[in-house]
Amino acid sequence: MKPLIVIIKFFLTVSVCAQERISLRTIPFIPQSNERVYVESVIDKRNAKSLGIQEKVNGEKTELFLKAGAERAIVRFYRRSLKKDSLSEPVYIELKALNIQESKRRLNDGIVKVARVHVEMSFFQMEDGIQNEVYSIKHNEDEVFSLYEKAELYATHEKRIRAALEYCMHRFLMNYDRVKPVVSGADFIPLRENEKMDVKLGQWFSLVTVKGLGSRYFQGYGISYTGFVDSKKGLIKPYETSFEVTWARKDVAEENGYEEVNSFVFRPELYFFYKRLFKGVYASMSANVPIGLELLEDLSGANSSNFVIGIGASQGLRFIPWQKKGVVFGADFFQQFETSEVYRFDLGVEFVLGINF
Amino acid sequence: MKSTILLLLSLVSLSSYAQKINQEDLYTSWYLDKYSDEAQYYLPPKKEAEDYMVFNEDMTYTAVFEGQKSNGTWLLNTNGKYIELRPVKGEKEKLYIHFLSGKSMVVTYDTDEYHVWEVHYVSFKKESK
Repeated sequence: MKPLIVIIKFFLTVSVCAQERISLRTIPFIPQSNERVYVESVIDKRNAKSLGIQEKVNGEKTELFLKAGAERAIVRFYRRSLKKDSLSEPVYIELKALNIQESKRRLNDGIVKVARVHVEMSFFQMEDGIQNEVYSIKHNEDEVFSLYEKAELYATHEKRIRAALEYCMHRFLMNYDRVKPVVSGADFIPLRENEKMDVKLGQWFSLVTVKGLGSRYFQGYGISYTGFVDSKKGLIKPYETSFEVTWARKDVAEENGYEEVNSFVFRPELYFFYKRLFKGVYASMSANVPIGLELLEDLSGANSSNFVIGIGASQGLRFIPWQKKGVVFGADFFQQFETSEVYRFDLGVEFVLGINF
Repeated sequence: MKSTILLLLSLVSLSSYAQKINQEDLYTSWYLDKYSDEAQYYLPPKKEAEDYMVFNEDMTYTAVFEGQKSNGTWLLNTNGKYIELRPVKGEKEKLYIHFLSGKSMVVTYDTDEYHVWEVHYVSFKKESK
């Protein structure tokens, strides 16, 4: 019985996440410096040797590795461009990070996918039989794709690894005259580039929410899609599209000579941001342009319509307690000027409930 | 069958040759010619009419973007097929190369504002200026 359980567990593990080995092509580049160096060795210092788990075009999760291992693949890649000869000096590399990431972000009025290869490496040179660290670099090789370019995104991870490796070597060689003369200096501090850069692409949240709203003149409901990349620092600029259906309160409609006033409104935003207050808690603020149609029925039963446009603002909070999937809730205060037949200025509150996925 | 294989091989080698970026082709002055998107070509706006970039062999560049002068260092990433510009003042910029010959270059600036535009430059060799 026990072996059977082990076999089942093995197949379950395999089915959850397959493995794929990326063969690194060795396309030569021209070193943009007259320095003559070659890469003697690469030591992979990463705790996990995987490049990360990525989704293939068919949705299958795959754990990616470099074929022949990162150490051999990277040495081979660099040797193609930096030849070893009697005049060239050896360089020793420690690989601190090499991984593939994928997320989404807002670009102009839409959403795009972002693919990243993140690499961190340190360069050493031999001095009196001792390897001295002379230079280190962190680099993100990012590329943007449309949401429909899933196959191209997946197929080009390998290209971005090459580009990231090439970039690090260019930067090392471009700084070589700054690190070379002081290698033997006792007080030498290795040159560090991009030390404080963001190494992780932010998590993309997709929220579908419904809202119930009430104001001095109206009540109604709406539905929204909101997408944003989480970030601890700075302002987050979400993408949002929403649609609202509202109707005038009975007494308000009658005071203005109508039996019913219904309006259907989109809200393209002029300015919209989230600010992360704590993990899972965000403040939101927006300026938007409500635009739509007001359908009116007067007390005699005659129907008419009115094009409405205005300017609105809102301030609120969003709670996203479960990061991967779960319930989202929040509340907003809003104010707006609008070309409605029953009001010019309105203010109210809306309650939001939805899911993130 | 043999001729089909030969044809395929020659097409593969032709396509890989077409994608190769020759760094020496960049060592010249590049004058902004036009923009394009999926639909059509567009002339540059007035303030960009005199825009250009000069890539020097010592890996420095001088340029005029939107009428403003800029200078700094540049590098070509052959595997990533892009140029990185590091101005003395301001943020670095990335230009993806879609096409490069001795006479023309088509790039996309890796900035949100210009992402949808292909930018067409034409060269006039330094000695002919």
